[in-house]
Amino acid sequence: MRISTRHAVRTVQVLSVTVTAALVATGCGRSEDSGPGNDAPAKLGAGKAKGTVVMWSLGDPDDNLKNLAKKFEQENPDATVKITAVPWSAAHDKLTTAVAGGNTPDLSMVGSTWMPEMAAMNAFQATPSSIKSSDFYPGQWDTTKYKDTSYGVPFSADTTVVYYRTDIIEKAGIKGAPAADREGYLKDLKAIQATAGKKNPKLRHATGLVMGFNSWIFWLPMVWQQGGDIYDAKTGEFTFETPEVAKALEYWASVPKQGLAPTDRSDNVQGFRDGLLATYQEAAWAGGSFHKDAPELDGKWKTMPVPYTKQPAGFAGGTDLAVFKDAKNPDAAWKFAQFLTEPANLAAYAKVTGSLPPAPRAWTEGKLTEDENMKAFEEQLKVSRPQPAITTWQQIADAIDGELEKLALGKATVAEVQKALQSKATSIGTGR
Amino acid sequence: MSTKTLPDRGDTHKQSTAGPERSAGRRNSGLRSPARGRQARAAWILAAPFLALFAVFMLVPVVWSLLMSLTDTKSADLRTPLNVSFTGIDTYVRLFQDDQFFTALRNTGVFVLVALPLTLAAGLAAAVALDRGIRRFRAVFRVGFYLPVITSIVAVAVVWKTLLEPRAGLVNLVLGWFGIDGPAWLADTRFALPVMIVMAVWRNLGTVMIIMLAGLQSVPQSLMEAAELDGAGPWQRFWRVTFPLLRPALLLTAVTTGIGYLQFFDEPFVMTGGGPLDSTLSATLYAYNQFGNGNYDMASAASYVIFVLIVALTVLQFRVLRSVD
Repeated sequence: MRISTRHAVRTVQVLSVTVTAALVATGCGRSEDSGPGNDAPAKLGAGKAKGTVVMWSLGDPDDNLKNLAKKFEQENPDATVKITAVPWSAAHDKLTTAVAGGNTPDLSMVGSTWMPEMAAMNAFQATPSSIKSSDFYPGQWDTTKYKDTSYGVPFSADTTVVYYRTDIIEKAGIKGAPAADREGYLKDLKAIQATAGKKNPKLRHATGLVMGFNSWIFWLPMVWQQGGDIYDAKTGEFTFETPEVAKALEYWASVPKQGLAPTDRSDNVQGFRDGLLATYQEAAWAGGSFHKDAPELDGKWKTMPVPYTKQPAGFAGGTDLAVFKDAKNPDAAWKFAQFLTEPANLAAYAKVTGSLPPAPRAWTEGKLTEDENMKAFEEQLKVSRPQPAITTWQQIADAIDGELEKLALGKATVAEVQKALQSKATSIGTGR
Repeated sequence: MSTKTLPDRGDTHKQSTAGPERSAGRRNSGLRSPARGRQARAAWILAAPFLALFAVFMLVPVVWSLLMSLTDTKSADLRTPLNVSFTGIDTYVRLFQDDQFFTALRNTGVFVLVALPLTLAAGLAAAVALDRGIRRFRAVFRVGFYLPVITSIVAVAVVWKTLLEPRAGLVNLVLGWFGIDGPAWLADTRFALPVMIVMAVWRNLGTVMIIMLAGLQSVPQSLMEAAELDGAGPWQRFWRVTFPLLRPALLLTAVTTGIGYLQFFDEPFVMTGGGPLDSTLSATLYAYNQFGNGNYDMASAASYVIFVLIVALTVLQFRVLRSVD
């Protein structure tokens, strides 16, 4: 018994030493006047890149990025690029752990909604001034910002458009695409729903909604389309109790209430392919996957920009390239990031991976709109913007997801949802 | 420096439970020989790798987490720990003001209170049936019942999710043959949690069964014969002879399964993400989400609440299943 007590004491002693050491190790060596939102742009040396650059890429290991790295190595003979693929599902944890432990690569792809959170962790260097914001779509550039300082370069853009089945909507008497304004679009959906049964035996619902996780991505732009927002960056306050938010919520609720969309969490992609749904909103990868997995559908579906009320708006997601404060070779890392985001390279990367380039010049140089279905995405990128750049965003987003589900299932009214969101968001706050 | 090894009351007057812990106790008390020092040193050396790993990967995080639960640590503080301030029980106060946490606790409670007795009963029934009735196919059934236990829970969850898919799933297809329009099981607040309870019982009864079966097979035939001679019928023989002898096995499975159920996580994580409307949100999933959101203080506090609940449930089970001697 006594043995174990003495050991417990010693263990606690060892522990406290370890903890203190860790605190000192991570806390020291940082000057007071720089920090999240306050950093001066990184400075790059002249000449070619030298040394080894370690990069993490998100998603499947992809050869296309490696080919670009080879091209970079040819242009910079003294530089070597090492790329490690990190699966998306593990990426957030892996990045935060690496930052916390000061054990990061030189640069990494970072999910755009994580940028404020990780910038606030003091993880990234501020973008050098040689990288011009005007080269990118404004919404995509804004994803790199935290407290008005940019901490990365947009690398791939992700926004959603409406996919529609031409063969199904034709039977509802719709010529061309469904209406581009919300009112008209809703009317078209009703007309499509009316054809379920005799005219469209397979059709269950005119459209598909995303229920639960990540439904905010589809709802938030509806607020912007009303000219409103959920957060005022100037006052630092949430504005869920505004008429614009009410309108967006009403619109969201009206679709399932009128039976135009299912409220279960069934798979929209599969539903669209099988003809159970006539329209739904999805990102660019879906087009490629239809072509690959369901070639019989080729020519039976098209895309259109998201219908809007007062002004067009969409959500800007995707990935940014960020260089870490703990990078061993920051100079070469920024040079590689700069190289990757040159229009020709962005276009080459996007073409193979099915993502969208975040820079207008990449679209022109890569002739991306030669595919008719890409035009809607280009149009959408021009009006897309990111979520509020606050570190607690994921929690706010979870709260919105939960309340939207209540609304769609008829368990809460628009006013109740507004009140709940305002109080939840206020108590979550915006982080330090 | 005497080590206290006297077995406590519960063990002394029972003959049939000379389990491993008792024999170990006896060996311990014989350690006063001169070789003791050397043996102890060897023991420590042999245990050292485990102890080192245990300290680094279990003890440090556990203590650290306790410390964090008493501060306001967020993910943004990891690199600037000097910003963290000690807030005492403030995090716990905030935790208990969070309705979502209560929802999570309630769901976990319902899950444990319903699934645990069902699992024990089903496992015991399966063991008795295998021991008595279906002797010939015992091996087949044993494997059949035990297979779900050793299958990865994620694989199980994915398969069940496919079976329960509202439009194309096998369950609703079969219901359709009988003219029943099956619900969207996992997207319906009335069914999502019950479905997971059924799944947990199906998955875990094999563990209970295999341990009970071992217990049943160790019941001395002579006792049964004696009871039979005394005129006890099959029911009486089961309740008066077999069941009391199974109590240690029951305690073991009740405690381990109970702890597992209080940590209910994988099923909602894979199948519903805690929805619809938080109806399958468990306490551990709540803690996980808080951690993912960078609220390390809240995640730690929630983990410690779960820890206290586990200790409480375990103590309760020991009381209930042991006191009847």
